[in-house]
Amino acid sequence: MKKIFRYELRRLLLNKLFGGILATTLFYGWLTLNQTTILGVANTAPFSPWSFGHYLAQILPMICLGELFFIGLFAADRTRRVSVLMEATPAPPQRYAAVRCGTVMVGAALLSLCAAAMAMGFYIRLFGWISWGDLLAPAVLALLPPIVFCLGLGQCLGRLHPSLVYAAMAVPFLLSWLPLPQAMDFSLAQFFQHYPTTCGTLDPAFTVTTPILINRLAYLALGALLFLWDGHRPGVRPKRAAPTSIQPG
Amino acid sequence: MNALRQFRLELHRLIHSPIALLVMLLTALSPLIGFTLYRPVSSSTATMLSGGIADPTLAGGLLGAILFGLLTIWELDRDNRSGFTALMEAAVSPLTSAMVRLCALISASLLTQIATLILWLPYTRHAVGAVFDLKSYLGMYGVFMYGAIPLAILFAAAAHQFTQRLDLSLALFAAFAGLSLTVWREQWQLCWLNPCVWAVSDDFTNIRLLRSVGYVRLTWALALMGLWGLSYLCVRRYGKGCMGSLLRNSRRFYRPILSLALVAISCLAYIHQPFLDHSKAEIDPLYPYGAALVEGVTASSLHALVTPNPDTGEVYGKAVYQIQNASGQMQSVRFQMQPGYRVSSVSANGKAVPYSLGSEVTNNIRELTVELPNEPEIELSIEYGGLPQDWNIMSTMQGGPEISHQYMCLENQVLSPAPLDFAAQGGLLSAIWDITLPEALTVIPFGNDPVEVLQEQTDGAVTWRIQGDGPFEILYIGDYVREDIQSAGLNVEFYYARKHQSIMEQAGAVQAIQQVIEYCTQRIGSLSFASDQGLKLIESRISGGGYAADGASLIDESDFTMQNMADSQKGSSPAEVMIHELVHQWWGLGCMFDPEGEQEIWSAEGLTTYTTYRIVKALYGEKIARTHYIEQWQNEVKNYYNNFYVRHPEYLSALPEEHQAEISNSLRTVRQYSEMALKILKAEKLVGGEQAMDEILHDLFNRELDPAYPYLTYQDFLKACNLTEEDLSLEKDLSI
Repeated sequence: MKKIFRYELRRLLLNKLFGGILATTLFYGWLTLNQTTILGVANTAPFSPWSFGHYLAQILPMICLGELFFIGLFAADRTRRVSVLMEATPAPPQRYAAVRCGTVMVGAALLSLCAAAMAMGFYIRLFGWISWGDLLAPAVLALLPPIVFCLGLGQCLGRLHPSLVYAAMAVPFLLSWLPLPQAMDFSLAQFFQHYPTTCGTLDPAFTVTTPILINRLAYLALGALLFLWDGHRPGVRPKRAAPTSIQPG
Repeated sequence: MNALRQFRLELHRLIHSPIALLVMLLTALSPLIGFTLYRPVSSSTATMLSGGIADPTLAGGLLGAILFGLLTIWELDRDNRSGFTALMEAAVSPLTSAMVRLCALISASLLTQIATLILWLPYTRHAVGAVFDLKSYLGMYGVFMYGAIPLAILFAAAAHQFTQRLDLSLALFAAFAGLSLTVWREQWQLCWLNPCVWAVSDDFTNIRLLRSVGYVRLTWALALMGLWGLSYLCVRRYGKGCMGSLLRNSRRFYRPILSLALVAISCLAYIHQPFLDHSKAEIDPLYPYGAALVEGVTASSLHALVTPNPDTGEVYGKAVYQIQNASGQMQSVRFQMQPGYRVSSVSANGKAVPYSLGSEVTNNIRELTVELPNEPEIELSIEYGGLPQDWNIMSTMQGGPEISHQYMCLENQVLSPAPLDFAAQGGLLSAIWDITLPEALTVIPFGNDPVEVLQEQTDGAVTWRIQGDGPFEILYIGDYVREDIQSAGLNVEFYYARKHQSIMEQAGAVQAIQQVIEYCTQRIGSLSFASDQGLKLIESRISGGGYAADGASLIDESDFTMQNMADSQKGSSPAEVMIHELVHQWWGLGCMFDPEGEQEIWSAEGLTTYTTYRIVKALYGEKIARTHYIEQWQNEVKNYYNNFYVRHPEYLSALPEEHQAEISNSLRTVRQYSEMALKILKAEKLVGGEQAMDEILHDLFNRELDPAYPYLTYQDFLKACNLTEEDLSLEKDLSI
């Protein structure tokens, strides 16, 4: 499976789509850094965990969009047409699906890492700042649950019809743009922007409230559930793929 | 099959396709979102056209563009999905097919737009009411809404022709749309999808704004046509890939040349946009006041012939200065010029003299340098003209220098060049402006300068003469109604747009004005400069605020909507902007503040804001005044003191220059308006209450002036209150 994983990863990373999405994400991130993050959020420094988290929250929809595109690649009709051949191999289908999901996660992680690295380069160039450790917590909080959620959502929808994955690309933007209650906040942009002003001190240390923690765990759990449910659904076959697989004798 | 026949077939197929019909239907209905959810204009400015036409058209443009962009990609990918690419290419040239599909999609969008116009006309007419105007309706639907849709189609088609992939095309389109909605939303030339429209006028015209948005869309159209042309070259042929097809299709050399030419023209259009100047990022509050005067050179008179062109929005003129050069040598003098103007000739005593226009623009002023001959009396004639350019800090709030058949605003250098580094002889410059205008318009000088009709032309145009005693003049020109109001011994001329007459009468605008004048005259003092001429209040085209100068006060038209004027529950509302601007007659003009002290926190704004609060408190009650003034000041000042760059100025100096300027300017505004008003309120508590403060302010306003330095300083105020700066410090405690 390692070989298959490396192959799928290479197929994804060398795809023009990945390059295009990476370039777009970095460009968008650069503009966000120069126009919003540089001013600092909630009266904190531009390089504070709050400002960094806010920056990641702003580019999160682009990262999720990229992730759904990667899922769309694997759900495309062209790929599904050869699924009969792939199902004939000795590799268990669930493992193979897990390998693909792992590939998508690596792709999304690479997008996130590149965006985060660009921000750090920005901080070093302007402010000479180099405190990496402080930024890990907001990065994980802002990125991991939505990425897992989009993974599960994309997998489920892709199994029903490839076009639904593309329709789902509007979801991260809508969830980030609509004024949702804190319990449903997708990107946490509002949390990063407003919570520090309620702490009673200036430049508060990065902390997470219980509702936010529950929110993140909920998105994480929902994504995992969608993913697991999709993997265990019986008798689901794409309409255009061949209905049978050859059983080894 | 010829291209025209193919186009007819393709268009017929398209408008009968269920998905295309759905897109067309949704696009036609999309203005509904602008009446409800998406209200970028009317949320900040309460005019009827903002909510009734601008918001729906902006929403329609946004959604229509996205829908048609997606439809374009879907339609162009049809062959790939069905696997019929080879068959199609065998029947029809792929190049012809690409062109035909683009034309069919744009035609379908045009048909949709026509249907949308017809569909929404009756409701819009009803919703907007008395100020509805068909030209504005057609203009906004055409420019704000339809302007975005062909751009989306062009980009989406180009994306698909480059990539030949549905997923990648969607990604590129999403990125292009996303950029406009987010990072480019305040870059007026880049936000192709959501143009920077901050307000539209009910009572006057919006030609300038429509032209600006139209220009941006045209610039993008040229760029995207060029991009599409390049993608057209990449249409796959003979089984070749992107590069192979590009080389093959470029054999007809005019194709790539035309595409590149379109892109180049759009770049030139972008760089040389005519609407905003290129003023330096950092605002210099001392410019041009501090310029050293040229010794021995004075001016005694100015006579300017000004001809605005309401069709093009341009102004042309000839300014003749009588100048005295007593220095005994040639002298180089400078004039303040409108940055959008070009100078066609400069002559002294009938002979051409060397001159040059400066390359830099500061505070919306470009310098014209003229070499004066060594002659004691010089008649200097300057011929100038062009499209007035607004200050680039107003990039997201355009529309100010409106020049049309129904309204004109001609201010200072827009009228004529003014001296920068030489003084008027004897301190007074006799100035005459003769301005030729369409028949139905009234000229209102912003001040007490006399105005009269000089001549009526045979073609219906009228020449007006305005006389002044300085090189600067501000003229408001439109179809105005005048009301004469008597209040507290002051004769007030109130000018407002004829379109608004019934609303003014219904809302009792005159009474509101009387209340403010009575309050200020009683508590602060009478206006000394108003004297025989009285005070002019002029309704202006929407500008986001007001302006006050000698004997006149400008009030934004949004202050006079029925909604604002009758609503006593509103706090910091446009109605109180009207009060604020009227109060500037007292603090700012009746009592002056040193303009060179602009860097400091002390200015006319602090006392004006405080007095506005006191009037609101008297009119609407303490609760409303505390909620919308004191608490707002406290929040803003708290945010200021907590601002990261205020606490760590060393990081501010590490930022790029344009960011430093942006942050510094915004911080200064908070200090002058909110922080100073809060300090004055604190002083009120310390001196013993409102009555004690009223007496202090009355004494300060009516004090004997030092002619050498007539300004009221912060130290004067502290001394009158018997307080020190430390007493009014807010850094430790903001509670009042």
